[in-house]
Amino acid sequence: MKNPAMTVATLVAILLAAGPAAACDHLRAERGWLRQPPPGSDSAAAYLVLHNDGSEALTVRGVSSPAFARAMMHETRYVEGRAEMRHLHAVEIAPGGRFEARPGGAHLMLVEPRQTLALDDMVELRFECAQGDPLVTWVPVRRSAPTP
Amino acid sequence: MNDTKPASHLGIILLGAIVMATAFAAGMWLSSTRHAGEAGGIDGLLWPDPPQLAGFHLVDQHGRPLEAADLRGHWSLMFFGFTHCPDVCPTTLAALARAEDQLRKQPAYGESGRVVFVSVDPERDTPEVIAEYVNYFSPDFIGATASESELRALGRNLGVLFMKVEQADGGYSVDHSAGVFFVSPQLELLSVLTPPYTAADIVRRFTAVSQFLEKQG
Ligand SMILES: [Cu+2]
Repeated sequence: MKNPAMTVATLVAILLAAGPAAACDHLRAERGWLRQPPPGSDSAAAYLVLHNDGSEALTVRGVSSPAFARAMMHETRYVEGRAEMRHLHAVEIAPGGRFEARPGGAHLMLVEPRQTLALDDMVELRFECAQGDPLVTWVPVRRSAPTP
Repeated sequence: MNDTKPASHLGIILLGAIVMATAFAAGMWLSSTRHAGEAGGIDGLLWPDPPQLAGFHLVDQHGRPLEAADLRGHWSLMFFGFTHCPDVCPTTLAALARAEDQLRKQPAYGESGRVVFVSVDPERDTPEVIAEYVNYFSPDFIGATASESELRALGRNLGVLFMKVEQADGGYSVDHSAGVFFVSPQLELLSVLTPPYTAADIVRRFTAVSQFLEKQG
Protein backbone atom coordinates (compact mmCIF):
# COMPACT_ATOMS: atom_id res chain seq x y z
CA MET A 1 0.00 0.00 0.00
CA LYS A 2 2.38 2.66 -1.15
CA ASN A 3 -0.25 4.99 -2.53
CA PRO A 4 -3.93 4.27 -1.79
CA ALA A 5 -5.17 6.97 -4.18
CA MET A 6 -3.24 5.46 -7.06
CA THR A 7 -4.66 2.05 -6.21
CA VAL A 8 -8.22 3.36 -6.35
CA ALA A 9 -7.56 5.12 -9.64
CA THR A 10 -6.05 1.97 -11.08
CA LEU A 11 -9.01 -0.06 -9.86
CA VAL A 12 -11.47 2.38 -11.43
CA ALA A 13 -9.56 2.27 -14.67
CA ILE A 14 -9.69 -1.52 -14.69
CA LEU A 15 -13.42 -1.51 -13.87
CA LEU A 16 -14.12 0.97 -16.63
CA ALA A 17 -12.11 -1.02 -19.11
CA ALA A 18 -13.73 -4.30 -18.12
CA GLY A 19 -17.16 -2.84 -17.30
CA PRO A 20 -20.17 -3.25 -19.57
CA ALA A 21 -17.52 -3.40 -22.20
CA ALA A 22 -17.64 -2.12 -25.74
CA ALA A 23 -21.09 -0.59 -25.37
CA CYS A 24 -20.84 0.89 -28.85
CA ASP A 25 -20.66 -2.66 -30.16
CA HIS A 26 -24.39 -2.93 -29.55
CA LEU A 27 -25.05 0.20 -31.53
CA ARG A 28 -26.36 -0.37 -35.02
CA ALA A 29 -27.03 2.23 -37.69
CA GLU A 30 -29.51 1.93 -40.54
CA ARG A 31 -31.32 3.99 -43.19
CA GLY A 32 -28.61 6.63 -43.16
CA TRP A 33 -28.29 9.36 -45.76
CA LEU A 34 -26.72 12.76 -46.03
CA ARG A 35 -28.57 15.66 -47.61
CA GLN A 36 -26.34 17.16 -50.27
CA PRO A 37 -25.68 20.75 -49.21
CA PRO A 38 -27.02 23.10 -51.88
CA PRO A 39 -24.35 25.25 -53.55
CA GLY A 40 -23.49 28.22 -51.37
CA SER A 41 -24.10 26.33 -48.13
CA ASP A 42 -21.22 24.92 -46.09
CA SER A 43 -23.49 22.97 -43.73
CA ALA A 44 -25.01 19.57 -44.31
CA ALA A 45 -27.34 17.38 -42.31
CA ALA A 46 -27.26 13.60 -42.13
CA TYR A 47 -30.07 11.39 -40.95
CA LEU A 48 -30.22 7.80 -39.77
CA VAL A 49 -31.67 5.48 -37.16
CA LEU A 50 -29.44 4.20 -34.34
CA HIS A 51 -30.50 1.04 -32.55
CA ASN A 52 -29.29 -0.22 -29.21
CA ASP A 53 -29.30 -4.00 -29.62
CA GLY A 54 -27.72 -4.54 -26.21
CA SER A 55 -29.29 -5.24 -22.85
CA GLU A 56 -28.03 -2.06 -21.22
CA ALA A 57 -28.61 1.60 -21.89
CA LEU A 58 -25.89 3.25 -23.91
CA THR A 59 -24.85 6.81 -24.40
CA VAL A 60 -23.72 8.29 -27.69
CA ARG A 61 -21.35 11.12 -26.85
CA GLY A 62 -20.69 12.61 -30.21
CA VAL A 63 -20.22 12.22 -33.92
CA SER A 64 -17.42 13.04 -36.30
CA SER A 65 -16.67 12.61 -39.98
CA PRO A 66 -13.39 12.76 -41.87
CA ALA A 67 -15.33 14.45 -44.69
CA PHE A 68 -16.13 17.52 -42.58
CA ALA A 69 -14.18 19.89 -40.37
CA ARG A 70 -16.82 19.74 -37.64
CA ALA A 71 -19.73 17.51 -36.71
CA MET A 72 -22.34 17.67 -33.96
CA MET A 73 -25.53 16.01 -32.94
CA HIS A 74 -28.30 18.58 -33.31
CA GLU A 75 -31.98 18.84 -32.79
CA THR A 76 -34.43 21.13 -34.55
CA ARG A 77 -37.28 22.19 -32.34
CA TYR A 78 -40.32 24.17 -33.30
CA VAL A 79 -41.34 26.79 -30.78
CA GLU A 80 -44.42 28.78 -31.78
CA GLY A 81 -43.70 28.28 -35.45
CA ARG A 82 -40.04 29.16 -35.06
CA ALA A 83 -37.35 26.65 -35.90
CA GLU A 84 -34.50 26.45 -33.40
CA MET A 85 -31.41 24.31 -33.79
CA ARG A 86 -29.74 23.08 -30.62
CA HIS A 87 -26.69 20.99 -29.79
CA LEU A 88 -27.31 17.56 -28.25
CA HIS A 89 -24.36 16.84 -25.97
CA ALA A 90 -25.25 13.19 -25.53
CA VAL A 91 -27.97 10.84 -26.63
CA GLU A 92 -29.02 8.01 -24.37
CA ILE A 93 -30.61 4.96 -25.95
CA ALA A 94 -32.49 2.44 -23.81
CA PRO A 95 -31.86 -1.29 -24.30
CA GLY A 96 -33.76 -2.32 -27.43
CA GLY A 97 -34.47 1.35 -28.08
CA ARG A 98 -33.65 3.62 -30.97
CA PHE A 99 -32.72 7.17 -31.79
CA GLU A 100 -34.11 8.50 -35.02
CA ALA A 101 -32.62 11.47 -36.85
CA ARG A 102 -34.96 12.74 -39.57
CA PRO A 103 -35.64 15.98 -41.45
CA GLY A 104 -37.09 18.62 -39.17
CA GLY A 105 -36.00 16.75 -36.05
CA ALA A 106 -32.71 15.42 -34.74
CA HIS A 107 -29.90 15.52 -37.28
CA LEU A 108 -26.17 15.20 -37.56
CA MET A 109 -24.89 18.65 -38.31
CA LEU A 110 -21.84 18.55 -40.56
CA VAL A 111 -19.94 21.75 -41.21
CA GLU A 112 -17.27 22.72 -43.74
CA PRO A 113 -16.94 19.82 -46.16
CA ARG A 114 -13.37 18.79 -46.92
CA GLN A 115 -14.36 17.23 -50.21
CA THR A 116 -16.97 17.68 -52.89
CA LEU A 117 -20.15 15.80 -52.12
CA ALA A 118 -21.55 14.33 -55.31
CA LEU A 119 -24.80 12.40 -55.29
CA ASP A 120 -24.28 8.74 -54.27
CA ASP A 121 -20.86 9.42 -52.73
CA MET A 122 -20.46 7.52 -49.46
CA VAL A 123 -19.54 9.53 -46.37
CA GLU A 124 -18.07 8.08 -43.20
CA LEU A 125 -19.69 8.89 -39.86
CA ARG A 126 -18.21 7.88 -36.51
CA PHE A 127 -20.22 7.72 -33.33
CA GLU A 128 -18.42 7.85 -30.00
CA CYS A 129 -20.01 6.02 -27.11
CA ALA A 130 -19.41 6.36 -23.38
CA GLN A 131 -17.67 3.01 -23.59
CA GLY A 132 -16.37 0.81 -26.32
CA ASP A 133 -15.02 1.48 -29.77
CA PRO A 134 -16.74 4.02 -31.97
CA LEU A 135 -19.35 2.86 -34.43
CA VAL A 136 -18.27 3.58 -37.98
CA THR A 137 -20.96 3.74 -40.64
CA TRP A 138 -21.17 5.01 -44.22
CA VAL A 139 -24.09 6.96 -45.60
CA PRO A 140 -24.88 7.96 -49.20
CA VAL A 141 -25.18 11.57 -50.36
CA ARG A 142 -28.72 12.14 -51.57
CA ARG A 143 -30.80 14.98 -52.83
CA SER A 144 -33.83 14.01 -50.80
CA ALA A 145 -34.98 11.37 -48.34
CA PRO A 146 -34.93 7.82 -49.68
CA THR A 147 -38.42 6.39 -50.02
CA PRO A 148 -38.86 3.70 -47.38
CA MET B 1 -20.45 11.72 -12.92
CA ASN B 2 -22.67 13.60 -10.47
CA ASP B 3 -20.93 16.86 -11.12
CA THR B 4 -22.03 17.04 -14.75
CA LYS B 5 -25.63 17.93 -13.85
CA PRO B 6 -25.14 21.34 -12.23
CA ALA B 7 -22.61 22.17 -14.90
CA SER B 8 -25.00 21.43 -17.72
CA HIS B 9 -27.77 23.36 -15.97
CA LEU B 10 -25.47 26.31 -15.69
CA GLY B 11 -24.68 25.87 -19.37
CA ILE B 12 -28.36 26.05 -20.26
CA ILE B 13 -28.89 29.14 -18.11
CA LEU B 14 -25.86 30.79 -19.67
CA LEU B 15 -27.02 29.88 -23.16
CA GLY B 16 -30.44 31.29 -22.32
CA ALA B 17 -28.89 34.49 -21.06
CA ILE B 18 -26.72 34.80 -24.15
CA VAL B 19 -29.71 34.15 -26.40
CA MET B 20 -31.81 36.79 -24.67
CA ALA B 21 -28.97 39.28 -24.55
CA THR B 22 -28.18 38.74 -28.23
CA ALA B 23 -31.84 39.04 -29.14
CA PHE B 24 -32.43 42.26 -27.28
CA ALA B 25 -29.09 43.83 -28.03
CA ALA B 26 -29.54 43.18 -31.72
CA GLY B 27 -33.11 44.33 -31.47
CA MET B 28 -34.10 41.31 -33.48
CA TRP B 29 -36.76 40.05 -31.14
CA LEU B 30 -39.70 40.82 -33.33
CA SER B 31 -43.25 40.73 -32.26
CA SER B 32 -45.20 38.01 -33.95
CA THR B 33 -48.19 37.45 -31.77
CA ARG B 34 -50.66 37.35 -34.56
CA HIS B 35 -53.47 34.95 -33.98
CA ALA B 36 -54.84 33.08 -36.89
CA GLY B 37 -58.60 32.99 -37.05
CA GLU B 38 -60.68 30.15 -38.37
CA ALA B 39 -62.83 31.92 -40.90
CA GLY B 40 -64.68 29.63 -43.24
CA GLY B 41 -63.44 26.62 -41.28
CA ILE B 42 -59.97 27.07 -42.73
CA ASP B 43 -57.13 26.58 -40.31
CA GLY B 44 -54.77 29.47 -39.89
CA LEU B 45 -56.66 31.93 -42.06
CA LEU B 46 -55.82 35.54 -41.22
CA TRP B 47 -59.26 37.00 -41.81
CA PRO B 48 -61.04 39.45 -41.86
CA ASP B 49 -58.00 41.65 -41.22
CA PRO B 50 -55.11 40.14 -43.13
CA PRO B 51 -51.86 42.06 -42.74
CA GLN B 52 -51.10 44.00 -45.89
CA LEU B 53 -47.57 43.78 -47.23
CA ALA B 54 -46.19 47.26 -46.73
CA GLY B 55 -43.44 48.83 -48.76
CA PHE B 56 -40.29 46.78 -48.29
CA HIS B 57 -37.02 47.01 -50.15
CA LEU B 58 -35.25 43.72 -50.73
CA VAL B 59 -32.53 42.78 -53.18
CA ASP B 60 -33.16 39.69 -55.30
CA GLN B 61 -30.70 37.00 -56.37
CA HIS B 62 -29.72 39.02 -59.45
CA GLY B 63 -28.90 42.05 -57.33
CA ARG B 64 -32.02 43.86 -58.49
CA PRO B 65 -34.47 45.59 -56.14
CA LEU B 66 -37.46 43.52 -55.07
CA GLU B 67 -40.32 45.55 -53.67
CA ALA B 68 -43.79 44.72 -52.44
CA ALA B 69 -45.25 46.02 -55.72
CA ASP B 70 -43.28 43.36 -57.62
CA LEU B 71 -45.36 40.70 -55.90
CA ARG B 72 -48.67 42.29 -56.88
CA GLY B 73 -50.85 40.39 -59.33
CA HIS B 74 -49.76 36.85 -58.44
CA TRP B 75 -49.64 34.56 -55.44
CA SER B 76 -46.42 34.41 -53.43
CA LEU B 77 -45.42 31.64 -51.04
CA MET B 78 -42.82 33.24 -48.80
CA PHE B 79 -40.32 31.37 -46.67
CA PHE B 80 -37.67 32.86 -44.41
CA GLY B 81 -34.40 31.08 -43.75
CA PHE B 82 -30.67 31.13 -44.48
CA THR B 83 -28.29 29.07 -46.59
CA HIS B 84 -26.24 27.72 -43.67
CA CYS B 85 -29.40 26.09 -42.29
CA PRO B 86 -28.88 22.43 -43.18
CA ASP B 87 -32.07 20.82 -41.94
CA VAL B 88 -35.25 22.90 -41.99
CA CYS B 89 -34.44 25.16 -44.95
CA PRO B 90 -33.52 22.56 -47.58
CA THR B 91 -36.33 20.31 -46.35
CA THR B 92 -38.83 23.14 -46.74
CA LEU B 93 -37.52 24.45 -50.06
CA ALA B 94 -37.59 20.93 -51.50
CA ALA B 95 -41.20 20.59 -50.26
CA LEU B 96 -42.06 23.98 -51.79
CA ALA B 97 -40.57 22.91 -55.14
CA ARG B 98 -42.67 19.73 -55.11
CA ALA B 99 -45.76 21.68 -54.05
CA GLU B 100 -45.20 24.25 -56.79
CA ASP B 101 -45.23 21.52 -59.45
CA GLN B 102 -48.76 20.70 -58.29
CA LEU B 103 -49.83 24.31 -57.85
CA ARG B 104 -48.91 25.27 -61.41
CA LYS B 105 -51.91 23.17 -62.48
CA GLN B 106 -54.27 25.31 -60.40
CA PRO B 107 -55.46 28.37 -62.32
CA ALA B 108 -55.18 30.59 -59.23
CA TYR B 109 -51.45 29.88 -58.91
CA GLY B 110 -50.82 29.23 -62.59
CA GLU B 111 -47.58 30.21 -64.26
CA SER B 112 -47.25 33.49 -62.40
CA GLY B 113 -47.23 32.21 -58.79
CA ARG B 114 -43.85 32.43 -57.07
CA VAL B 115 -41.97 30.94 -54.16
CA VAL B 116 -39.99 33.71 -52.47
CA PHE B 117 -37.09 32.71 -50.23
CA VAL B 118 -35.94 35.56 -47.98
CA SER B 119 -32.59 35.09 -46.26
CA VAL B 120 -32.47 36.47 -42.73
CA ASP B 121 -28.67 36.14 -42.74
CA PRO B 122 -27.50 38.98 -45.01
CA GLU B 123 -24.04 38.79 -43.43
CA ARG B 124 -23.31 35.49 -45.19
CA ASP B 125 -26.01 35.36 -47.85
CA THR B 126 -25.09 37.74 -50.63
CA PRO B 127 -27.26 37.81 -53.78
CA GLU B 128 -24.66 35.60 -55.54
CA VAL B 129 -24.83 32.98 -52.77
CA ILE B 130 -28.64 33.12 -52.77
CA ALA B 131 -28.78 32.78 -56.57
CA GLU B 132 -26.91 29.47 -56.56
CA TYR B 133 -28.81 28.28 -53.55
CA VAL B 134 -32.40 28.84 -54.76
CA ASN B 135 -31.59 27.65 -58.26
CA TYR B 136 -30.64 24.26 -56.81
CA PHE B 137 -34.27 23.81 -55.75
CA SER B 138 -36.03 25.49 -58.67
CA PRO B 139 -35.07 27.94 -61.38
CA ASP B 140 -38.47 29.57 -60.76
CA PHE B 141 -37.74 30.53 -57.15
CA ILE B 142 -37.11 34.11 -56.20
CA GLY B 143 -34.37 34.56 -53.61
CA ALA B 144 -33.87 37.80 -51.74
CA THR B 145 -32.39 39.47 -48.72
CA ALA B 146 -31.93 42.98 -47.34
CA SER B 147 -30.17 44.95 -44.66
CA GLU B 148 -30.93 43.94 -41.12
CA SER B 149 -33.15 46.97 -40.56
CA GLU B 150 -35.17 46.26 -43.72
CA LEU B 151 -35.56 42.63 -42.67
CA ARG B 152 -36.66 43.77 -39.24
CA ALA B 153 -39.33 46.00 -40.76
CA LEU B 154 -40.57 43.22 -43.02
CA GLY B 155 -40.53 40.88 -40.02
CA ARG B 156 -42.72 43.25 -38.02
CA ASN B 157 -45.02 43.59 -41.00
CA LEU B 158 -45.58 39.86 -41.44
CA GLY B 159 -44.92 38.58 -37.93
CA VAL B 160 -41.64 36.89 -38.77
CA LEU B 161 -39.17 36.24 -35.97
CA PHE B 162 -35.48 35.71 -36.41
CA MET B 163 -32.64 35.73 -33.94
CA LYS B 164 -28.93 34.98 -34.16
CA VAL B 165 -27.77 32.19 -31.83
CA GLU B 166 -24.16 31.24 -31.12
CA GLN B 167 -23.39 27.59 -31.74
CA ALA B 168 -21.16 25.32 -29.66
CA ASP B 169 -18.58 25.18 -32.46
CA GLY B 170 -18.13 28.95 -32.53
CA GLY B 171 -20.31 29.51 -35.58
CA TYR B 172 -23.80 30.88 -35.47
CA SER B 173 -27.23 29.83 -36.48
CA VAL B 174 -30.37 31.89 -36.90
CA ASP B 175 -33.57 30.80 -35.18
CA HIS B 176 -36.33 31.84 -37.53
CA SER B 177 -40.02 31.55 -38.24
CA ALA B 178 -40.28 28.46 -40.39
CA GLY B 179 -43.81 28.84 -41.68
CA VAL B 180 -44.96 29.23 -45.27
CA PHE B 181 -46.52 32.68 -45.74
CA PHE B 182 -49.34 32.81 -48.29
CA VAL B 183 -49.49 36.27 -49.83
CA SER B 184 -52.38 37.02 -52.20
CA PRO B 185 -52.11 38.88 -55.52
CA GLN B 186 -53.49 41.89 -53.58
CA LEU B 187 -50.50 41.65 -51.21
CA GLU B 188 -52.52 40.39 -48.27
CA LEU B 189 -50.94 37.84 -45.96
CA LEU B 190 -53.85 35.43 -45.84
CA SER B 191 -52.36 32.48 -44.01
CA VAL B 192 -49.27 31.08 -42.34
CA LEU B 193 -48.69 27.34 -42.43
CA THR B 194 -46.67 26.51 -39.33
CA PRO B 195 -44.13 23.67 -39.28
CA PRO B 196 -43.84 20.77 -39.57
CA TYR B 197 -45.61 20.32 -42.91
CA THR B 198 -45.30 18.35 -46.13
CA ALA B 199 -45.61 19.36 -49.79
CA ALA B 200 -49.17 18.01 -49.70
CA ASP B 201 -49.97 20.24 -46.70
CA ILE B 202 -48.75 23.27 -48.66
CA VAL B 203 -50.92 22.37 -51.66
CA ARG B 204 -53.95 21.78 -49.41
CA ARG B 205 -53.52 25.08 -47.59
CA PHE B 206 -53.09 27.01 -50.83
CA THR B 207 -56.17 25.42 -52.35
CA ALA B 208 -58.29 26.25 -49.29
CA VAL B 209 -57.03 29.81 -48.99
CA SER B 210 -57.26 30.69 -52.69
CA GLN B 211 -60.78 29.24 -52.92
CA PHE B 212 -61.80 31.21 -49.86
CA LEU B 213 -60.49 34.40 -51.40
CA GLU B 214 -62.38 33.76 -54.65
CA LYS B 215 -65.63 33.41 -52.71
CA GLN B 216 -65.05 36.79 -51.13
CA GLY B 217 -65.25 38.09 -54.69
CU1 LIG C 1 -28.07 21.64 -37.05
